[in-house]
Amino acid sequence: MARKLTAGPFSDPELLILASLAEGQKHGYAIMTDVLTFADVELGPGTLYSAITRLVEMRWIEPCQPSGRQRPYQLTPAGGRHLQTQLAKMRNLAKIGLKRLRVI
Amino acid sequence: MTGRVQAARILLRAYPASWRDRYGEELATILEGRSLTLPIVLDVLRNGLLQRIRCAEAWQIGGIVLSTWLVVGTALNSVRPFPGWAYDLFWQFDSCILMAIGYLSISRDRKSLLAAAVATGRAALVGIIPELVLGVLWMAGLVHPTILQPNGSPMILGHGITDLCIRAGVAVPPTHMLLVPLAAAIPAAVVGALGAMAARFVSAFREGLRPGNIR
Repeated sequence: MARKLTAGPFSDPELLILASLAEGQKHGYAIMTDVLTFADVELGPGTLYSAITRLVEMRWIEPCQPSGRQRPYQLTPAGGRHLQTQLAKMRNLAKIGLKRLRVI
Repeated sequence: MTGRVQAARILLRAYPASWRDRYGEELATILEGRSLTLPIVLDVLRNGLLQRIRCAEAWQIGGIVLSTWLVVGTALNSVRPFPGWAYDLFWQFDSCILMAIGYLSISRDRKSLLAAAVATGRAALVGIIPELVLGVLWMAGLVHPTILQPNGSPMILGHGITDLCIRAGVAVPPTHMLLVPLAAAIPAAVVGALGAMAARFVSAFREGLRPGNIR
């Protein structure tokens, strides 16, 4: 069963969208299904488009040529750098947390 | 038009027109392709409201805050009349909201000083709507006059100038009760201009603190 967006690293819809677009350009519905697949998180349509609006304003993603009624989005170089920084921080945090729990 | 398409169109009305022009078609496509459960409807409505707040100008948000503040104050004062210090505090906070509107009109909406003052005046006009409604109800005889009178009344409706009239012991006829608050838009604009100047000062101060500008 898919988790709702609550707390934790998966609670940031912007990061989930950036991670989804790291694979290549996608439109809104494709992002939703991809996030559900790789993160097991169900993004609501309203939440998805609010996050897309913010990401476009921050120039971390950009719209491509529309295909039918849908418009695909792709990562910008700045968006890619931001995603890389955030993921590196998360990896660091996970490493320290697991070490302190004596899991690794 | 199918029921699902129609429902999606209705839900999209929660968003501001400028946002709908840009993203409406895409969101509608997603909404039309799935059953609209309660969590999805709430998600769309909540985000629509957030987008409306984001797209709104400072004076629009400020006007709603001012009128809400007045309604809350009236309601509280109706239950238990404010002591003098609480009454003063109530209107001082009102002035703080006006100053914040002027400040945000510069820092957020990038308006000119004059436009920020006008915007604050407009917000004050929106903010006095509850006061005007009470005034009309009073004139229609639906509200007891004491609700608009000081000294043991449930509510002293002031908004600056009216308040001064009441404190000075000047009789305020019902028609003035409608006209005088409207004039309060002028002092509100002055307070807004002060807030706008503060925003300019803060902006210049921050600019001066930038590494390249420090000598």
